[in-house]
Amino acid sequence: MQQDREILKKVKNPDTRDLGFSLLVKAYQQRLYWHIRKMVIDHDDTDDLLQDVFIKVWKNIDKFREDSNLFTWMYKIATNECLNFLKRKKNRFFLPIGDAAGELSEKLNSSSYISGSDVQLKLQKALLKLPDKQRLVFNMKYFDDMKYEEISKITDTSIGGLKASYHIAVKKIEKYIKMD
Amino acid sequence: MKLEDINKENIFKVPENYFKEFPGRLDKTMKEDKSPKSVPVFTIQNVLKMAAAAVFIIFAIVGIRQLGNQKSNSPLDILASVTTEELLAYLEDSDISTDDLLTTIDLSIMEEDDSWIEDNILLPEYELDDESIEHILNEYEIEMEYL
Repeated sequence: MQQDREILKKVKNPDTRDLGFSLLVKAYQQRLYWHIRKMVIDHDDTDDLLQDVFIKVWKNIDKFREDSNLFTWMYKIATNECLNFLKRKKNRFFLPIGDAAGELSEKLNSSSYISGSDVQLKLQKALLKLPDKQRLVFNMKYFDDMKYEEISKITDTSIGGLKASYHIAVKKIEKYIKMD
Repeated sequence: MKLEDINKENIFKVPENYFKEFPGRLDKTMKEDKSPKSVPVFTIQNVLKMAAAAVFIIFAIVGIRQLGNQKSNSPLDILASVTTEELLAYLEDSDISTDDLLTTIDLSIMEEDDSWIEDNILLPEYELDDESIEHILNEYEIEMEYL
């Protein structure tokens, strides 16, 4: 929080705005990258979205209310960017909806920037079977070890709803993994 | 197998020096172009292009169906007698502007509810073959990446 305050102080001062933003990017690029990457799978798509996220942060930083957590605010922007990106993929005219998940699944097999055991890949493929928002909740809870309170602020969903969503996701994933 | 039996280790990798180089690339992007890199599907321009194509496709389909069902001299029937090719040629040469189209159709519904598109354009019984789709896209310079 102290680091956030220092960064914000610099970003909101016209004389140190560029320096402050540079510090912000360096401080949060990795966490935001991995959050986006787990959702969109492909590195190049992640790179584009990460740039979009930081550009939005830059344009809207003056609207950020300092009573909330800077990272939660940026996580929320990144989350919206991911969900909109995935929605656009599915809404492409003339393409069956299932193709979007299939395309992401194919990237798990073909990307040179992915390396994991068979069972890890199977877990990722199982995740792609979930609705995007449920996958998002699962990622934040399971991989990022985030608290439900924090996820609730990012997703604007009740803690009860998140717990139910995570529980259902785990059941679905375990069922998928047991197949074969 | 249970979920907890699976290694949680991150399987995704990044190119070498990616995080070292990212701030510089971002800075360059922001200086070159203040707007985000990605192109939203539903920009006004794209919606207008899609709407223009959609309106004429619907007119053509309805017209063809009407022609098959009845013969009379009503304006709708006269329109129905026009072929798709004639409609496309007319559109190309006409002075109909996107503003004109905007005043006659409600675009907001397209942005708010994607089901409108499925219900009104992607009707399964009116499926177009690949050649027709490509022809229409070419006519109105609609790029597939925006669809």
